[in-house]
Amino acid sequence: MSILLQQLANGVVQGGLIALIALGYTMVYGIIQLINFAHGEIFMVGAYGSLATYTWLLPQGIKDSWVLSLPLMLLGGVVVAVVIALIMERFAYRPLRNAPRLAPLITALGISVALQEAVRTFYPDATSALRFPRVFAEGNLALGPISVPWSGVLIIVVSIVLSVLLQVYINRSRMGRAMRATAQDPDTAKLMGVNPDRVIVLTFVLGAALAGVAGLLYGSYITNVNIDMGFQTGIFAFTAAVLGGVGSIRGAVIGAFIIGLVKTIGGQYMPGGTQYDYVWIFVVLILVLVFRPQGLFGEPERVRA
Amino acid sequence: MSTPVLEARDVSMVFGGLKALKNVSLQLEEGKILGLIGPNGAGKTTFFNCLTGLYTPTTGSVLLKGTTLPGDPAKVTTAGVARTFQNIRLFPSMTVLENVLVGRHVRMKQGPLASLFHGPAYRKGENAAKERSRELLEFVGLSGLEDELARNLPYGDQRRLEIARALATDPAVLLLDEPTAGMNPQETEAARQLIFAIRETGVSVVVIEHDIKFIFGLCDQVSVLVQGELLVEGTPDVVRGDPRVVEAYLGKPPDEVEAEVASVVEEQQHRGAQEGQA
Repeated sequence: MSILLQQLANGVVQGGLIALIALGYTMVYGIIQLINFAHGEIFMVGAYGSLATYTWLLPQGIKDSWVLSLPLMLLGGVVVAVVIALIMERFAYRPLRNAPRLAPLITALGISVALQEAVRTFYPDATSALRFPRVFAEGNLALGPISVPWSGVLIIVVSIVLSVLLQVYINRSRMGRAMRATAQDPDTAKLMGVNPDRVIVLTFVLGAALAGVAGLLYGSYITNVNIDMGFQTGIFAFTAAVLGGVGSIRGAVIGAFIIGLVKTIGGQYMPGGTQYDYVWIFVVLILVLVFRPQGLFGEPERVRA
Repeated sequence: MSTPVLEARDVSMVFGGLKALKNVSLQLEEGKILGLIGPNGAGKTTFFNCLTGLYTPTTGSVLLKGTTLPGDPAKVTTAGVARTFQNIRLFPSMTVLENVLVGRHVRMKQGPLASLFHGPAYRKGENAAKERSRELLEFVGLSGLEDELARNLPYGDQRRLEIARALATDPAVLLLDEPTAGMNPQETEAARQLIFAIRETGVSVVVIEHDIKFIFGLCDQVSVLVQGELLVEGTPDVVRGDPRVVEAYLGKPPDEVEAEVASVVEEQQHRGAQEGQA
């Protein structure tokens, strides 16, 4: 029983992390119908950005106190993630805006590989996993039989708070309305004076900022980073977005928690153990795609006139 | 004569080998309703697309209050030209109020960061926009439906909502593309009263319509477009009596057959032009 509870808690932590990345997939898809396969790498460069901030920018006095170093590393990671995403949008995706859908998709895969190799080549010692500093309160939160590291608690809190904020932003604000209008009918939105370039850039910025936050949280929870982390976690996040109904904010978050739970529970109880956790995630995905292809919260695809 | 609020100067639009518009010049005086009629495929919607910056005219220019309009729909909207569509194009999964608020977008200042921090100035702007949007919904007769999803509205109400959304951009000129298509006589009459009410607020209006009776009962000026050329313009009485209009558009019964023929011919030409391009 206590093992089950512990694995549920672990699953929620994993789910929170996946949710922060899945939001980026689902938002970009909602606006320009592109599965941005390079989004996982944005998460990865965000983590390396935080690490670089810690290693080279922060003086020893600040490093010793996580209260000071955490926000600065967060800033570093988010800035790096956002800048890379902006460059990617401007020079890789924007020229392909009117190209057949397959072209930006292949480009996304290309960028994904390019970013991994760029970090491997240029980041010192990135050929193997790097240790990530401890940047949050030490120890665990103990709740009866469950024990969750404080960095895991941070993941749960931050992911839920940011998801809610994002949802409010998109539903209530002027630019949020412009994003939804563009997602539903880009041409009409343009005729209402909504500048599509601004909306698309904002979408990439929001997605990348969340991925940057996730990068730092991942580093502090797992305590090491490697260049494959974006690919692995990106696959989970992409699956979560599809599971929840790609284009839906709420769907991505709920899908992410489902994926996180399937991963830890499957790894614990199903034959094969953690080595097979991918299998159960994709079994769930396949079942959803068979019985509800639009995902849990997605709208059936409309045919545009 | 005072500067017209909207002016088209020698607007031509060529698609491949097809001349969809041939040197169309038009002037709309402030506070007037201009009707644009013509058979199917005469180029009416193409002309609207040129006015709103969706198409860049091959030659010629469009001026709003004497200033040339930019060839970008978003900027044209900001400058003060709004439109509705022949086939309704609302944002189906947004509420009625949100649809109008999107129309309000260009008149709001809040950037992406201001909305993150919800300061007092931000709230004030947002509330003012909501208030204005509710006024417009009341004006077109949709108050009480603001939280309904746009796609759940009946057809006639969707047309009204499109008008409210267009008015939310604070236009000087409102372009209505077949506002009464598919409406019954009562709805058509209500639409006529609404357009009069819009003129009362100081907005000048251009209407495309097939329903000739509707146009003659509504407009101060009528222009007849046939095969991309401006055939006749003038007051409804002048246009109604003009033998060329009677000949080209109204007279020969059954006129719809003729319109059909014209559109088929044009379509074939267009197809030919596209093949020529390819």
